[in-house]
Amino acid sequence: MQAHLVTTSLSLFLALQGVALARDLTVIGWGGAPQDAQREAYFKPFGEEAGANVIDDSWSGGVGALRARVEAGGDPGWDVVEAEAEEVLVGCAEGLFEKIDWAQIAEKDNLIPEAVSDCGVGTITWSTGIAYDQDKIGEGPVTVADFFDLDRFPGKRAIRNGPKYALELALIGDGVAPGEVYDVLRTPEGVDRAFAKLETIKPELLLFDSGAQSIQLLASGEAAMTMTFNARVTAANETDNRNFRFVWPGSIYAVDSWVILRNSPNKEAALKFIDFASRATQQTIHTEQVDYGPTNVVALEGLSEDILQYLPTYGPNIENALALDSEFWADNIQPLSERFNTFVAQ
Amino acid sequence: MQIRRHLGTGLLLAPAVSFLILVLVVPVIIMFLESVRDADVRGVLPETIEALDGWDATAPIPEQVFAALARDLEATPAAEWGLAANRLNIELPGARAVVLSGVRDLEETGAGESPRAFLLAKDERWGEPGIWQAIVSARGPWTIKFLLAALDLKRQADGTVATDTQTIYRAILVRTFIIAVSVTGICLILGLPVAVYLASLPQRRAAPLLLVLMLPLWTSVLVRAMAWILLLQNSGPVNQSLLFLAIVEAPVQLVFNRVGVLVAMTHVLLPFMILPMYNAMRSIPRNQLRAAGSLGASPWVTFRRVYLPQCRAGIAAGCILVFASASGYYITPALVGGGSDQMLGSFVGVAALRYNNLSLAAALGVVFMAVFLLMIGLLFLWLRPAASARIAA
Repeated sequence: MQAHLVTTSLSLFLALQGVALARDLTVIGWGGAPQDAQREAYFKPFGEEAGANVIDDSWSGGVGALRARVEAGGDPGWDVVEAEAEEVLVGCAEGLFEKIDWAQIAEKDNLIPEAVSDCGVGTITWSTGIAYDQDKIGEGPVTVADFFDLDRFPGKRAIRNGPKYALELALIGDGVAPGEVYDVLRTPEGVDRAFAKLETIKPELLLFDSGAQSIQLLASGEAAMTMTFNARVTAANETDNRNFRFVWPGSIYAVDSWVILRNSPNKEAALKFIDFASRATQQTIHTEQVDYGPTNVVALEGLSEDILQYLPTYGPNIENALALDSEFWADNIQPLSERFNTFVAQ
Repeated sequence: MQIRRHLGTGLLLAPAVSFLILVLVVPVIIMFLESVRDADVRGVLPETIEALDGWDATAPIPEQVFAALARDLEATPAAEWGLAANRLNIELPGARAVVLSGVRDLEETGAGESPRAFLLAKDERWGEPGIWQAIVSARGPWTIKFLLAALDLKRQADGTVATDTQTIYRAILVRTFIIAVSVTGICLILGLPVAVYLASLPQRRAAPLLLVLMLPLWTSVLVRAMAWILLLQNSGPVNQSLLFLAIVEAPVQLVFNRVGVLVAMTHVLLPFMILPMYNAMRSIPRNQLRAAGSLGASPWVTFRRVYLPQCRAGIAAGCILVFASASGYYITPALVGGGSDQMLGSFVGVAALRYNNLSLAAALGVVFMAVFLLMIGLLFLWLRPAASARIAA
C-alpha cells in the first residue's frame, strides 16, 4: 500500500513536471464565483476548441505582484491576467505586458471603447455607486444627491476608505454632470468643491475597506446608505432575500482587462484565448452566471431582461453613468489620498 | 579550553544568528536604502540632468537641454520608462503622461530639426518650468525628500527645511503610539489582577483557566474584529441591552471609533500581557509573603514592597510585548475604527500599494522604527528588569 502510494505520487509528480516543462496556457482571474463562471464560459470551451489545456489560478491585484514576476526575468509563470484599469495603464507604461495585436481580435469593433487599449482587452464591466435598503428607507433616494441630503434621509453614510469614487460621487451629488466630472476634478477648485461636499456628510461618515463590509453595514442598518459595487447588491438580494437597490444614474463603471505578461512563452495561445473570450457568444455564457457586464455589446442581445437590468452596460443603466478615468487616478492618487486622509482624520 | 567553549557557543548560535540577519537585519537595511535611494530618473535621463546642472529654476529652458532630453528619450525603449515616469509623477501629478507620451512620439517620428519645437508642439507642458523642476528634484542618486515627507517636512526653494503646507504623518505617528500606549495601559490594568489571582491558585486549578485565557488566540484577528463589529454596532446586543435596560435613550456609538479600536485590540493582546506576568509571579515564594505579614506588614505593603518588585521583569516583558504588537496593528483599526483611528501600518501599505511610492513607504517605516526604538528604550529604562533583580538580591 505504502509503496503503491509512493509510486503513484512519484509518477504524478513527474507528470506535473512534464506539464510544467511544456507549460500550459495559464490564466489568472480574481477567484470566487466570477472565476467559476470564467471556467465555464472561457477556459473549458477554449481548451476544447484549441485542443489545449488551460490552467487557471487567482490573484488579488496590485501591479507590484506582476512586476515581481516579469522583472525576475525568464518565464513569468503566468500568461494571461485579468487586471484592473489602473494596473493595465501603469503596467503597460512600465513594459510589464505584451502589446496586443488587435488584428487578431476578431470582434474588436463590437467592444466598448474602454475595452480597447495598447496592452489590455476589456473583459468585464462593473459599477461603483450608491445603494440603500428599500425596506428601511421606503421610497428611497433616486439620485446621488440624496446621498448627501441628511435632512431628507438621516443616518450614516458609508464610503470606501479613499478618494477614488468618493470625489466623483461628491461632484455628481453637487450637480456636476457625469460627463464633466473629471474636467472639474482636474482643477484645484473642483477638488475643493468635492471635499466641501463630502464635508457636509462628515459627521455621519463611515469608512469601509472591502466590498463585503459595505453590504454588512447596510444589512445591519448601521449605515442608511452606502457606496458599493453593483454585483454585491444583486448577490445580497438573491442569497439573503434583501431588498437593496443600486442607484445607476451617477454610478461609475470600470473595465477589467486581459493582459499578457511580458516574456510569456505562450504568447500566441494567450492572444487566441483573449480573442475567444472576447466573442459575444462566450461573454453571454459568462454573464448568465455572474452579474458583471460584458464588454462585447453584441453579447447583450443574447440575454434576457431579467439579467440585463442588473448590468453596467445595459442601456438605461449606462445612460447617466460615468466611466472611471484610470489615467486621472494613476496621476493623482497620492496627493488626493493624502488630502482625503487629512480630511477624515480631522 | 576557553576558545573551544566559545567556538561551541558560536556554532550553536550560528543558525539563529544567520536567520536573524536574513529576516531582520537585511530587510531593515533594504528598507533604509529604499527610503533614500532615488536613481530611477537618473537612470533614463542622464544627459538631461547633466544639461540642467546650474539651471535657474525660473529661467527658460535652453535649446541644448531639449536636445539632451530628446537624446535621452530616444535612448531607452518605451517599455523601460515606467519607474522613472512614476517617480516624476510623485513630484508633479501628471508628469507621468507627459514623459511617456514624449517617449512614444519620439519613437514614432524622431525629433527632427528642433527637439524644442517638436516637444512643445506635442505637449505644451514641456514649456512650463514644472516638469523641469520635477526632473531636477528627482535627479538623485540619493534623497532625503521621503524621510522629510514622512515627518511632514519639505525642503523649500531657498534650501531651508520647513513644515509642509499639509501635515499628515506626524499626527498619524502620534496617534499610533497613543493607541499603543493606551492598549498597553488597559491590558496592564485588566491583566494584573488576573495574573495575581492565577498565580495564587494551585497549578491543578490554574491550568484550565490558562487554557481559557489562550482560547481566543486560536481565532483569527480578522474574525474577532468582525465579531466585535456585530456586538458593538448600533443594532448589536450591547446597545440593545443598554436600550432595554433604559440605561441609554439612543444607541451609543461603540464601534467605528476609538472605543471600538481599544476594545478589539485589548481583547487580542490581553493574553500577551497576562502570561509573562503570571510566569514571574509563580516563581515568587509564598513564604516570603507570609514572612512579611508576620513582621507586621499590611497586605498592601506586602504586595507593593515584596510581591510587586519581584514580578517587575514579568510586567516589563508583558508591557513590551503588548506595546510592540499594538504599534504595528493595522487590520483591526481598519475594520473597527473610524477615519481618525487608522494607524501608521495601514499608511505604509497605502503608500506602497496604492500610490506605487515604495520610497515613501520605506521612509515611513524608518521613521516609525526610530520612534518605536526610542519608546521601547524608555519603557526598558522605566521597567528595568535589573532593578527588580537587585531588590530580590
